[in-house]
Amino acid sequence: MRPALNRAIFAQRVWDSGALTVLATLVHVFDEAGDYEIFVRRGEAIVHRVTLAVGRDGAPRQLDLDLAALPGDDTRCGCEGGDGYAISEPGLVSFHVSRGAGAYSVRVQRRTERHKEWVLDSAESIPEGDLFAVVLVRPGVYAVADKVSGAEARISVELPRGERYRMDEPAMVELQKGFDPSELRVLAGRAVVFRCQDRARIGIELADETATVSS
Amino acid sequence: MAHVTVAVNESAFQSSLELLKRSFRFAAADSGDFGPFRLGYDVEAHLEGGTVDLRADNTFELKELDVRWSRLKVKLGLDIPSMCVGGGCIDLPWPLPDFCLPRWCLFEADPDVSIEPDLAAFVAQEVSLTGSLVVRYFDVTVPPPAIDPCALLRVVPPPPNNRWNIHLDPQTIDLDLFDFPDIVGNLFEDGLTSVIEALIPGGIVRDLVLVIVGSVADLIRDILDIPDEIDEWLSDFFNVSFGLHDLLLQVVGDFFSSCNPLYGIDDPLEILPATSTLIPVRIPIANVAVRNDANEMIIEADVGA
Amino acid sequence: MAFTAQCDVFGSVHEDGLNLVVGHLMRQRPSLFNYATQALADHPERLCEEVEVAQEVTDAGDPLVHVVEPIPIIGAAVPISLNWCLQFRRVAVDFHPGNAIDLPPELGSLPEQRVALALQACVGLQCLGRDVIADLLPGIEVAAVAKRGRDDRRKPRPPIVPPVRDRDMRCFCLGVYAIGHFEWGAIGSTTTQWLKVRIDGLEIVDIQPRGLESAIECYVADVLQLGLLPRLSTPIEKIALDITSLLRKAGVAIGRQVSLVPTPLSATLAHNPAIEGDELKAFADLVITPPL
Repeated sequence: MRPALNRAIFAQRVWDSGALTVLATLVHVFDEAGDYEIFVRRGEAIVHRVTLAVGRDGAPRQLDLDLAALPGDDTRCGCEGGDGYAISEPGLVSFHVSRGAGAYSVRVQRRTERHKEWVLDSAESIPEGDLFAVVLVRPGVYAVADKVSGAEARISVELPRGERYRMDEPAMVELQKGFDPSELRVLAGRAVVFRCQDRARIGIELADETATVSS
Repeated sequence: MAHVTVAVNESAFQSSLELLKRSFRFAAADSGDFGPFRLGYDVEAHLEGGTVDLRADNTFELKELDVRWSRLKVKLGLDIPSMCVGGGCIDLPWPLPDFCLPRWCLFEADPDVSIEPDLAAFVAQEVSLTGSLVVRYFDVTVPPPAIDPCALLRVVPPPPNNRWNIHLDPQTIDLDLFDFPDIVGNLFEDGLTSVIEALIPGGIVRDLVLVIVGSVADLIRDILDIPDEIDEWLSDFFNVSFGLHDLLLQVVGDFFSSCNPLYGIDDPLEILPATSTLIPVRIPIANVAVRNDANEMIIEADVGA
Repeated sequence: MAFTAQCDVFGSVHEDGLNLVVGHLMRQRPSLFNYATQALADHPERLCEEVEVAQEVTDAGDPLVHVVEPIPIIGAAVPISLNWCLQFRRVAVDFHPGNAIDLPPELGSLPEQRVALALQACVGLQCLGRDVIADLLPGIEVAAVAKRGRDDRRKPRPPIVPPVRDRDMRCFCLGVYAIGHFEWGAIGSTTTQWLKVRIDGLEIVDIQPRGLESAIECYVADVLQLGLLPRLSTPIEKIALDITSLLRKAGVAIGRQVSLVPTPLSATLAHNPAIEGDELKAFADLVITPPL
């Protein structure tokens, strides 16, 4: 059997935390118990909504939502029925896109007995305390910029030939009045995780593809 | 004193055995699913060479008989494990839990590949038999067994009449174990490298796949879960798991012993054929005995009353 | 010394075994040893001697005798023929050294490489009774007188063969002794080698006058040499109990022809076939074409 190659992994060169695509992950920290509702948009359309209970006893600490695999489409939200989700308090929900060319954003609303408030609108920005991760596959130099603070960073991605290494060793970058570190070298296929201590909107772009496989 | 004596010298005995041996064919095929890999074989063998020695102690020895493979295909199917990027977990400060990142896999489903090299040119085994000659009486009125082990081994169909058969009765049969040489490992690696390269486009994609997979040899060993070289692993599979060595031993033994008598004497023996108006003339043969010394095989028989 | 010191395949048959074979042959193929006219074939109880026959011959309905033409009464104006029979019985063989058959002095002692043959030849001839002759005579006299002075140009008509009645047959048996040998040879254009029996001398005991004995001996020898013995030629494979039959079939399976040929004579093989020690011995070589 010759299965299809997931071409988006190699085609993606630009990422924006406001429009989630393949290889990008947004992690929202839920540190207050309560009832929430998650709205998923692709472009302008809401393609999915689901409830989330935070702080239920025995609930998992991490929930992963693949935005490309949720029920629903451009015409309806796919929210009929279902029990919703539950996580612990504090808990983490990650939003990622497994395949395809779509760009997604997420809004999260907290509901109380008296009012409701938006706690996350990824299209606008990443709130303080959240994380944004990208897996960089193509070798080269990537330019990183935060539209909110104007901070910049550079990431060099290398693909050593003939050398076997683990993919599951992510690198951490802190964003607080600037990226730390601002210059980073990682091996192709590994994730770079930005921990946002300030509100941010992060963009990454493959700036220089001439830096190819190192010998 | 016996009424009739027939003797065959060692050279003619050797020719007799050669005539029989050249019709020997062994063919077998089987496969098994072992989880991450599938292994099968499709083989065909014949016999070459060999010399027979009639011994003074009423035994014979057939030695240096080679099992030659005209086809020894080994079909190896592997499930290439998931090749993915990303993943791993990050340590977040308390009270936050650690977070584990998702992975993106290069293929939408795990690919499987298979190769089917023919290793016939690389394997040969030697067989030797020792035993004695025996007489067995074939009674045509006895119904054949429900499952006939000689169905595929018989060179000459069973006769339509009773017959005294002279059989080789091996007491010992030695057959070399399957022992694949080092080159077999190279054949497998080269074969799998080719199919994997055909599966993925060149350039960065292949470079990335090879980084994830490592060398094809490492991949094979990981999937097959073997610490040894592929050739040793394959030898064990043939000898033990598939039981092909024992099967071949059984078949060689049956071919020469129970399935194909070397000589036969019809009972009764026709001495004048039938004509259009007369039945044939047949004489009963009794008390057939066989023995051999270092020079010849000797058959003694009586004419029945 | 090994049986196969000078050959690939050796076969021998002891005279005791061959005598058993002859017994089977006589019982299973009686028409080789019993000759009679149709009337006697239809009434075998009127033959000179009872025919010993195997059950399978009776079950198959095979004939007991080989039918021959009746003997004409010479000179009869109307053709008349008589029933008769010739039966060979008590056939025995004795290989050199001769110790089972006492040969008549005329044949001397059994030479080396020779086989002695003893048998009884029983002959029966129909003798017409007076009443039968009395019935036939008027017609014969008429025919005899009618033919005087003229050639009879008419097509001869089938003879009258009077039926055989009880006590019509006049029988006698003669003791026949012969010395012979065996030799290999082809028959026709086939490549198979056959074992053939040849008669070297024959003696019938005590017939007078000598000329009668000599004539009868000659006739019996002709019957044996030209009648009976050619039908008993044996292909070479049978001497070895046809053990090569499986080899021939195995050979066919791989495109080979397997045959036996007599081993050529040499300094170490003086006789082939050989008769010695009360046995007939055959020496053969195994030939595989094309060679393995």
